[in-house]
Amino acid sequence: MDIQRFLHKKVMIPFVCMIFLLGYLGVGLSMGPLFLESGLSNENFIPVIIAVIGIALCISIMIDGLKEPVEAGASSSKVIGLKQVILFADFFLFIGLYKLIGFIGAAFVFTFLFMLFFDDKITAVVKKLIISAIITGFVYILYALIFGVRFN
Amino acid sequence: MDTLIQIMSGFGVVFQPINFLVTLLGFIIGLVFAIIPGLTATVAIVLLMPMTYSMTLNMGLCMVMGIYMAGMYAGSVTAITINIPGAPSSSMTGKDGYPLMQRGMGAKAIGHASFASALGGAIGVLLLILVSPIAVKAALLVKTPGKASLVLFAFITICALEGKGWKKAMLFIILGMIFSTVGMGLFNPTSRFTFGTVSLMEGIDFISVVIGAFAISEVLMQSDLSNKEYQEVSAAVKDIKIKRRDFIPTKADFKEIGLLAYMKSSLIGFFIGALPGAGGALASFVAYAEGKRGSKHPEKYGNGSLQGIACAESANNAVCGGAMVPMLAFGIPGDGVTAVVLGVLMVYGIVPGPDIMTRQLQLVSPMYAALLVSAVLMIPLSLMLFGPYYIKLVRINRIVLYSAISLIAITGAYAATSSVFQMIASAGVGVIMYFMRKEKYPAVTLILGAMLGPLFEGYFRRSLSISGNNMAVFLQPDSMAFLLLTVIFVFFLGKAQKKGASTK
Repeated sequence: MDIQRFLHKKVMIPFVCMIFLLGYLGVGLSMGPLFLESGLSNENFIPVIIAVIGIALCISIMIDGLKEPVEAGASSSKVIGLKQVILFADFFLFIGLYKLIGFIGAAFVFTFLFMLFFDDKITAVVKKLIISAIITGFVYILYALIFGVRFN
Repeated sequence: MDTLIQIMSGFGVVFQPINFLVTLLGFIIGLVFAIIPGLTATVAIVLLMPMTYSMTLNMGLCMVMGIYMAGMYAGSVTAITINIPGAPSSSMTGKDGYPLMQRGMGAKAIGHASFASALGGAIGVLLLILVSPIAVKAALLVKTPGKASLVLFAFITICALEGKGWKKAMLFIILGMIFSTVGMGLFNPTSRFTFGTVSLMEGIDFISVVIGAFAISEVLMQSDLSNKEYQEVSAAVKDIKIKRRDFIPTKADFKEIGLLAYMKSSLIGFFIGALPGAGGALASFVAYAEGKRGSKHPEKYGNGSLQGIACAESANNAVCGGAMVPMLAFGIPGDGVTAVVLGVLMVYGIVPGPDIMTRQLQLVSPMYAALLVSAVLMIPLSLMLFGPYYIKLVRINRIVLYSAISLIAITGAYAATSSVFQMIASAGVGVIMYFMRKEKYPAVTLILGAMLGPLFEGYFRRSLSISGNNMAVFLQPDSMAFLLLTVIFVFFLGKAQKKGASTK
């Protein structure tokens, strides 16, 4: 059996969506009957319907993906680079730091790391530190002073 | 008549100094975002959305309309000068603009693009004003089952427009609807899909989904591009010199293009804009093809035709007016930008749906005026003031730019909701969207699902409730009209797509 055909992104993405939708459907069904005794629709009525349609769509997209010819080296090609992983992590780091040290510190660290890793190579560190401070100041002024947002 | 009077009252609002300045500021922001490849007016409005909480409704609407009109136009600048459309709606402009640029007539091409955009934009708004009284009457006829069918029509139409990708589009509508089902129940005070978590009780805010889907995912998509490659592109701009006097179109040029081409393209743009999900790219493509078909010199198209530029640009800016028709009359966005604009209206408590025009027209009337003022502003601002400097924007340091955008975006999710959980949701949606967009899952459909999903659920369940769960309630005339329209639209669109595929 050609495993590569199944590990293809065109198959894996709808597969992951289908697993999610199956879970969603399970939770929806566990919420009770679709119609209440009064005859009115229950809060799980629409979720169950859309989950069923979604699962059918996922299966259909997976079948389409399986029919498509697998490009040479498609499964071994990089799904995501280190640069992107670091940038994802940077967003969640900002959220974590925001709770710990507040907006200014978190924003400075976030921006500096973002600039550092968005670039092709780690260069001009001091310049990026200075620009990070300026961006942090700008965004703080924009939100806190101009638009009156209260940061914890 | 009442409708027109209410619309006209919006002009008084826009000409108040602060609102006029905000419109101008929005226009400039829209220009900057549309000129820089990778950024769009949609991203600009998404970033602005959390800030609108601190603005008056009029200011928010004026700024958003300024961004929208400028965003539709300014993508043409890079399409002409470096053959990279700043926005998808400008793809056709580059076909004729770039050859002109290569012949040293880039300023002339930008001048014509500016004029055509201004004219198309203004015609689009005037048509919108004319159509509005009819739209109000139509909106009044739509009852609850009809509203459910209307949302269904929008969903199916948008999926049909995706052609072969309709399944992905529909899956995304469903995922968007799923986001909107998290939190408290719609009719009963029970929680749904919260797993006993307090944070999930508040639900996933629409703004968090929009910021994640459009802004954060876009930044991540841009990280795929090598900065060295981008620098090579932007270095090409360094030697481009554009003189102000070269912008002004001549009488002979206008004669060559012909008034009919402007008018026909603007009408095409307006009507395509009125179709849910169609947008500027499709409008400029159709108007360009129609312009070529009716031209005395079709051989010039693709080789520096001023008429080609005029057709594409008048059409994509006329879309602004057209896209507002379904949005204001029925609460159905005409394209991605209007979907986000509708989100801005929701920030101010304006519920999407037929009620916008029938009950809240007074509130949204400045949108008409701001859109028209933005179209008119385009000529003096582009041809006489900023034109020669537009292209320099391409040379902005993208690392600094995207860092700032990322921080504004993630902070915006907090600013709009005062919730750390919404920041997490926004970042999560952004990461998921990054993967999905790479596989051509359309972000706009996710947003539509999240935005219109609760409305569909409400209308659908309410219709069932009033009819004692009798599905025949959807056979009432208003509902049937939309269901029939859906069938007709899908049938003809399918035929058109098959024809398009066979001619390729």
